[in-house]
Amino acid sequence: MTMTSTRRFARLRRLPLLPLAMVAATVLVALFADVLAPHDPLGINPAARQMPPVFAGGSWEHPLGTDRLGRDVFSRIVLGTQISLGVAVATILLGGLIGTVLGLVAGYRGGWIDALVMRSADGFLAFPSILLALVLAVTVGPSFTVVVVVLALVLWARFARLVRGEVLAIKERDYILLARVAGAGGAYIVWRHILPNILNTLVVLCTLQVGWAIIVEASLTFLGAGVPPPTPTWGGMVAEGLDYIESAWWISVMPGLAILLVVFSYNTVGDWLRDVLDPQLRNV
Amino acid sequence: MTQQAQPILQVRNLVTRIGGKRGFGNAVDDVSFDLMPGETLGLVGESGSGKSMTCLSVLRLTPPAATHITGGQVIFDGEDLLRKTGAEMRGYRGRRISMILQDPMRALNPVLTVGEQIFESLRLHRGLRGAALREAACELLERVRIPDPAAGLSAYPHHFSGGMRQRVVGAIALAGNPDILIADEPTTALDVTVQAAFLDLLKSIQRQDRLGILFVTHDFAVVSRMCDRVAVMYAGRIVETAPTDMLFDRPRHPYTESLLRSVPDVDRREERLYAIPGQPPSVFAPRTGCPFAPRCPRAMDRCRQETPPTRRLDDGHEVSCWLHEE
Amino acid sequence: MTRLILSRLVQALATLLVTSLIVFVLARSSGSPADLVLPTDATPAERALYIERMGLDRPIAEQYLIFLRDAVQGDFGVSIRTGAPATELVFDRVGRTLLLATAGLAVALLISLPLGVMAAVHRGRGWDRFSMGFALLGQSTPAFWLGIVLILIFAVWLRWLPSSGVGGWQHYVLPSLVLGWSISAGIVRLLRSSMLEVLDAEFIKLARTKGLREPVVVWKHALRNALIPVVTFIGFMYGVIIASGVVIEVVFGWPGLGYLAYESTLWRDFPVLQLSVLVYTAIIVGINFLVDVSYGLIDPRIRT
Repeated sequence: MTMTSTRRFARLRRLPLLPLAMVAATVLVALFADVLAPHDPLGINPAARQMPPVFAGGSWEHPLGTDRLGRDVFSRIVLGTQISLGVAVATILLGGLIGTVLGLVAGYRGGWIDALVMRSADGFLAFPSILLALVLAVTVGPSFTVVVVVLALVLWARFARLVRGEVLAIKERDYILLARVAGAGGAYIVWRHILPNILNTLVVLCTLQVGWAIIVEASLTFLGAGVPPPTPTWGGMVAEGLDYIESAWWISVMPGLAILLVVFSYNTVGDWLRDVLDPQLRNV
Repeated sequence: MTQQAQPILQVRNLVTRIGGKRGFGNAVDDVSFDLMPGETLGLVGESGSGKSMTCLSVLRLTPPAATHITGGQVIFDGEDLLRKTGAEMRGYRGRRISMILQDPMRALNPVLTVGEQIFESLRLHRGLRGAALREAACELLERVRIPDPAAGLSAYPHHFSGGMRQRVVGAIALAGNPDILIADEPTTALDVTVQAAFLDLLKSIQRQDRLGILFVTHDFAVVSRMCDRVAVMYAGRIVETAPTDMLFDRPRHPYTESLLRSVPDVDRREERLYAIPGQPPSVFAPRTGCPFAPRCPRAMDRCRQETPPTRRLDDGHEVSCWLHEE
Repeated sequence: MTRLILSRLVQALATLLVTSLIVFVLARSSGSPADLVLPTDATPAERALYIERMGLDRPIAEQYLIFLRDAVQGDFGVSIRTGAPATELVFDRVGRTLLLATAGLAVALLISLPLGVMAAVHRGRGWDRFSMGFALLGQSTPAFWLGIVLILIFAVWLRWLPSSGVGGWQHYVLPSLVLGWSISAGIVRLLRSSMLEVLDAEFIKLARTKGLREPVVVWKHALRNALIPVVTFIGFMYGVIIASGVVIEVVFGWPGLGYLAYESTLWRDFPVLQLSVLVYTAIIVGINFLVDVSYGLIDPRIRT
C-alpha cells in the first residue's frame, strides 16, 4: 500500500454508482428470484403467446413481452440470473482456488514445479473451451456441472499465471527476506506474508472474471452445450428466440441485453476496484 | 580562441514552469548563458538542479503535459527559437542543434537497424538517397571510430556494447552537420575507460567541425577534461559561470566551493568526507531570496530576503551571490 | 534458429497428440462408445462386428494405437448422419472458417490499431476515454447476441445485407464485423498500455531530438515496438478467436468448421465432432507455431 489515504479517498469519489448498484442488484435478484419474478417463469400460457414488450405495443403485465409458449420474458430473465451468477460463482471458486494454490506454489518454489504449472497453464489457456464443452455435451451430456468444470479448466490457468507473477514480485522484498532469516518456513511465509499482499489482485481478478464466466456460459448454453432446458438461462432464451427473430424479436434481444448490462457493470466495477486498490495492476 | 566571434547560442532569462497535482514551480528559473562556436560549456549541478530541463528547453522538447516555457529568449544564430512555430523548430532539431542523451542502452530503437536510424537523419537533413546514403552513413560511423562500418549498418543496437552504442548516437547526432551539440550526461552510464575514449572522440570532432558543445555533467573529472567554461546550477538557477581553471582554482560562490570540497581527493587525507548539509529545495516550494541560503555557510540576512543578481567580475567570472555585491 | 523451429514443432505435435488422447478418453468414458459411432438403427450383429473391429473389448492403450493407426492413414471414421467419411466433410469446411477468421482479424486490427495508438497518444483525453469505453463495451457484449441484433437491424429491418450463408462480399460483412468487434477490445487495451510504455522510452526522446515529425515518431518508431506484445497476445488468443468463430458461424449459418461441429453436436455425430476438434487444435497449434517463429521477424533481439 504505497498510497496516502488522501489519494485513496480522491479515487473513491469516482465511484461508479450505477454499475455498483447493478452488481448489488444482480446478487439480490439471484438470491430472491423466486419471490421477485411476477409470473411463473415456467408457466406455459398459450393464450398470451408472443406478446410484445410494453414499449412496442404490449402491456405492463408483461413488460418485456412473452415468448412462443406465453412465458413472461421478464420473469425468465429474473430467474436466469440464478444460473448465470451461480455458474460464475461456482467457476470462480473452483478455478480460482486451484489456480491460486498452484500459482502460489509455482511462484514460491520455482524450478521444475514452476515450469510444469506454467506450461500446463499455457496449454489450457490456448485451448478453446467451447470445443471441449461440445465434446462433453455429446459424450457426457450437458449440465450445470459440465459448464462449471469446463470454465474452471480455463480459469485456473488465468489465476495461476497472475498469482505466480505477483508472488515472484513479492518474493524478493525485504520483509520476506527478514522472515526467512528469522527461520520461518515456506508455507508460513506464503500464508502470512504473501497471500495478504496479493488479496487486492485476487479481488480485482475475481470481479473481472464474473463477466467472462457469464458470457461464456451463455454462449455454451446458446450452442446447446451448457445448462439444458427447461431451466431458464439467458443463453438458452436467446437460442429459443432465434426462430422467431422476425416476428418476436424481443425473445432473443432482451436476455442478451440483460447479459450486456450485467457484464458491463461487473467489468466497470472491476476496473474501478483496480484503480482504487492499486493502479500498478496493469496486467490484471 | 578569438574574442571577436559571436556566440552561436545565447540564452537569456529562460524560465520553464513545471506543474501538476503536486503544485507548480520553475524547473528552470531565470537562466542565462552564452555558448561560443567551438567551445564546450559545462553545465554542472546535483540531480534536480535543472540541467536537463535547460537542455530540453533549448530544443523545446520538455514534456508538454507538465511543463511550459514561460519566459526568456533562446537566441540561436540570431533567431529566437522560442518564437518559432512547431514546424520551424523541427527544422532546427538534428540539423542545427543536436542532442545526445545519457543512457546508450536505451537510446536506440531496438527493432530498427543501426543503419536505418542513421539513414533517417541523413535523409531528413541532407536529402540523400540510395548509394550516397550508405556512403555517408559509413563515413559517419568511421568518424565515430566504429570498426567495420558496413557491417555495422545492418546490425541491430543489441549487437553493440554500451560504448559503441553511444558512438552510434553520436554519429546520428552529427548526421545533419549541426552547429551545436547538447550532451546530457553522455558518459555517466559508461565505464571509466570507455568514457575517456568517448570524450577524446568528442573533442576531436569538435575541433574539426567547430562544434559548440553544451555538456551537462555532475562529474568534475569530466569537466576538467572536457569543458572550456563551466556554469554551476542550483535549484534551477545558474549561480556561477567561469573558465574551467578559474572555477577550480578560485570558486566564487559558496555552493561551488562546497561542491568542489565534497569531491574526494586521493592526494589529501581527510578525516571525513565532506557533504553539504541539508537538501536542495523542492522545485515546488515557494522561493524568496537566494535558493542556496538555507545551506550556505556564509549566508547573511540579505541572502534570505533578496535574490542576488548576476554580476560579472573582472577575472571572467559571473556570480550570483551577495558576497560579491559591494 | 532451426533448433528453435524443431523444438516448437515437436511441442506442436505433442499438443496434438495430447488433445487426441483427451478426446479419445472422453469418448470411451461415456459408457458405450459404440453408440457414439454407430447409427441408432444398427443391428446387434453390426454392433458386435464394430466392437470387434475397433477392438473395444481390448485394453485402452491398444485401442488408442488402433485409433492412431487409422488416423495416420486418414481414416477418422464415417459420419453417422450422412455416411460420408468424416475427413471429407471436415476438410470441405475448413477453408471457409479460415477465411472468416482472417476477415475477422483484419477487421479487428483495422479498428483496434488506430484506437489503441490514439488512446496512448492522447492519454487522459477524448480519444483515450472513447477507446477505453469502446474496449469495455466490447468485452461486455456477448458475440452471439450482437450477431443476432445486427441481423435484426441490417438483414430483417433494413434489408441491406443477407442474414446467413455464404456468397458474395455482403455475406462477409456482418460475421467478420462481429468477430472483429469481440477480438478488438482486448487488443485496444493491450496496445494502449504497450504504447504508453514505449512512448516513455529513451529512444523515442532521441527520435524527437532528430527532428522527426511526431507522426513518424509514433507510427514508425513507437508502434513497431509496441506491437510485439500484441502479436504474442494474438497468437495466444487464437484459441479464443476460434471459439468465438464457432458461435458466430452458428448465428450466421456460415457453413464452416464451427457450424459443422455444432451440427454434429445436435446429431450426436461423434466421428465428425472428433475430427473437427482435432482439426481446430491443429490450426491453433499451427498458428501458435507460426507466431513463435515470426516473433524473430518482429523482434530482432530474439533472432540471435
